[in-house]
Amino acid sequence: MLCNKPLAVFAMAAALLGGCATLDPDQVASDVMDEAAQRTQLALNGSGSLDTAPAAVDLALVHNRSVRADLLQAGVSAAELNALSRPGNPIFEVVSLPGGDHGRVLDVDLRASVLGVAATPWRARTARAAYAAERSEALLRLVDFTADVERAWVEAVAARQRLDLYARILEAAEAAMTIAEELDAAGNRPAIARVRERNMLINVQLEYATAQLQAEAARFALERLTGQGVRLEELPVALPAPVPAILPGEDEVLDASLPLARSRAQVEAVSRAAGLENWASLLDHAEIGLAAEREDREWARGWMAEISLPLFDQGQHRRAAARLRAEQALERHAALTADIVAALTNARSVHALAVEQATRVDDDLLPASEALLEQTLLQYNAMQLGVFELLNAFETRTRAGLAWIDAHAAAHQADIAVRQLAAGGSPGAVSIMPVAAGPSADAGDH
Amino acid sequence: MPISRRDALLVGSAGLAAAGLSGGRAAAQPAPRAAHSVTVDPAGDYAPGRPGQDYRPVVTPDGATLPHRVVNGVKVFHLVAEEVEHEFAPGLRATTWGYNGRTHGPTIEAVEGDKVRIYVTNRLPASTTVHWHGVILPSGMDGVGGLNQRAIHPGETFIYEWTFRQHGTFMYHSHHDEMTQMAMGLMGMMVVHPRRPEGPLPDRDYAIMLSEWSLPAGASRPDPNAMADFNILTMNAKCYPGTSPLVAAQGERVRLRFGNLSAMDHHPIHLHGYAFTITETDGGVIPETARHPDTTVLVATGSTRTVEFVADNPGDWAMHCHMTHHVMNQMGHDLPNMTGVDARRVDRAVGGLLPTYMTMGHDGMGEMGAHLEMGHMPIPENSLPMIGARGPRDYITMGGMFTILKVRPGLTGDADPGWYSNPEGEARLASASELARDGISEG
Ligand SMILES: [Cu+2]
Repeated sequence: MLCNKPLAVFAMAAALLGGCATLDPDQVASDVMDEAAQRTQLALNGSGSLDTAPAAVDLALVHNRSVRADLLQAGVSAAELNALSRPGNPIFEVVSLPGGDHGRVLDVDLRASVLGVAATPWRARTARAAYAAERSEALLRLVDFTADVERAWVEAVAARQRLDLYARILEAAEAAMTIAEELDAAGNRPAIARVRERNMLINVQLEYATAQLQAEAARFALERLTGQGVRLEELPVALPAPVPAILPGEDEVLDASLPLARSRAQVEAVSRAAGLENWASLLDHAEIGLAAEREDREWARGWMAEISLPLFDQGQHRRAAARLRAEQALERHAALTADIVAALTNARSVHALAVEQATRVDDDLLPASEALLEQTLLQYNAMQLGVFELLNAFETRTRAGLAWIDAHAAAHQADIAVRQLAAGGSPGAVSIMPVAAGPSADAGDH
Repeated sequence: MPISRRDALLVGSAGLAAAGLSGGRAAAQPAPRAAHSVTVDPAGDYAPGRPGQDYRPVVTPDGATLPHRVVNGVKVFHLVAEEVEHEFAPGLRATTWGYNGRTHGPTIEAVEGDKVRIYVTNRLPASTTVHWHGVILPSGMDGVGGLNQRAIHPGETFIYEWTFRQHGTFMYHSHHDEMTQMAMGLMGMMVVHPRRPEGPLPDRDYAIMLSEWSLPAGASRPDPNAMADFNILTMNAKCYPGTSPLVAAQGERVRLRFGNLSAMDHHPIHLHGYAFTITETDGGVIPETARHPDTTVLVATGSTRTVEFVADNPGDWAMHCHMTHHVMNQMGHDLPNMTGVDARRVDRAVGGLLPTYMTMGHDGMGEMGAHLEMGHMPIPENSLPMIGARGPRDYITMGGMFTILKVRPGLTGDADPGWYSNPEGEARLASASELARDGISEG
């Protein structure tokens, strides 16, 4: 028969050396999802809402279609891995020619690429490394995505809260304007006083409009990520108090890091590819096979071998490229490690500073601005200070509220960055807004 | 008052001239004489004047008289300059400077011809001196720091000595870093009775120091840096309703001696219900020919004025500085003028932000004290903004340099006789029939 003993042994060995175990591509997406949930420590049960940052993540994971597309990509990679883990199929060739008296001449070949079969284990390992990289990539996107959603949620809540406070500041400016109009109507002040008040009002109106724009931008960003219509009114009226983060250590973060895992897999993949290339470049075209020929009603059997002669290209360039690619991957891996360590240091110190700032706002600034308002009211009652000073103190207190929002948002952002790193997410600078200062405009001369 | 015969023989020319007894008509060219008032021989030697015998003691309402002892014919006083916890009125206290535990210092009282020795102990944290304002004395005793003496350092005791060769109403005060030390209260009255009084002696003799302070509402130490923002105006360092009333029996002769050591203000003191005669300045007795009747006496800062009248009009009579900002307590002066604004509209605009907010000043300040009295508008601790006092018929919207002269028939002693009952009737709501009778339309 065709089943030639050496070839069969060869094929079986190749099959064994290749990936015997195959992945179920349809299962990959939910595996990645489970691992992301476990890494981010978010209870993802599909009951999302806009009430908390984790709930918003839940909501986004259900509704954001590009997240689902990314997850499917992991399945695609798994299927590709399976494909690459099999030996290259042998080629069967039949040639039938009209013969002489004795009927047709049949020429039957069965041959296999030496590389396609013998390199199967190496190729499968390379593919496995590539798949690991792809899977890490998918997981990383998911972890980063959850952090992005949390960030967007914090920003949206903060923007809503800021908008409320700017509305109060606007209300105070409108009250001042009303008083200015009354003073003007009573003939108690020259027109310049009312005009000055009007200028201040317009400035506050513009501040409010800016806050509206920022709130809309934040709302839209959250809407995009959650894949759901978001209305500001659905968000909580205030940011939650920042939960003290469990700050992970450097080793812990490096172990968990998905960009590093991906990078490691890439290093492995290109290193394997380089190793394979050392002889694959020489065996660029090498086939062996069996040949049978039927002529004159007689079968004649034999074998065949085919090889490209390395006369013009000995494969050294391919080998060089592969070697450099491997070095390149190592350099990238080292750079990424340094980057992650730096990002962790940054996130930790930003977190510490932001928490300290939020604490100071809570413990000092808010009570101080409240006390200022109380004392101003006492002095107003005692007719030592006028109503404009009172409204100024009100504004100062309200602006302390803005500082509270900025400080708490910063603490949340730093916390998210730290948790993102701990979950293996991408490193990056923590971007926060500077904490608002006191009243932007001097009260002016009333 | 008994006058010794020896004293009577030593009447000075100025006193005689003032009394119109010198026979000046005969002197075609009167000899040049000092302006101050003298009833003693400048070179004479006089026994220390005795209270109740040689003079009728002055009363310093809300104040005190500095005690003395006589040592070898010299009246010895001891002033101790020190920090004082002072109450301007109920609800307003401050750490001030004063003498012998009081702000202002106790009144020093003497008789013309008295030899005095005044010890001054400095228990302040700063150097000080004492100047004897209006007293004719040797230059070295005048108390101007650096000019007449070196300053009295903390812990030191200095002696001042002289003989009074004049009578009148004077003052004493620090003359070292005056701006600070007088702003903190270092001052007092000084009354020197004539050795030989002219005319009828007063039945009531009151000494009142006028001064002013800068004490922000809620603060408790006067601010010496103030130049214009004086918000506590006082009589004997009390502002109404902290001032005790002056009392007199109907028909009594009343003498009021005002001194003014305010930093930056003169005070026109107006007495209701009477016309009085301004009889003396710190320079001396005003010749009768130069006197005039008045109802307001302008007491310039750095001077004294003495007025006299017979309290023949019974009642409760306001007596106060007539500068309207001087009869206010701790009024802020940098407020927008709210008079006439629509308070409801403002209340709505601000009340949405501050629920306890209440527009004030739109109908003046008159209701302010009563509002505060009701307690629904909390004000700073230790402050006296706009506060007056509950009177017998309504809220008295006065503060600061304000007191009440209470004249009653048959009154004896110094106790407050309570409110006058207006037996002759008082202003009241007009009845419809009265309006109709006199053709008055309320519309
Ligand atoms: Cu005055």
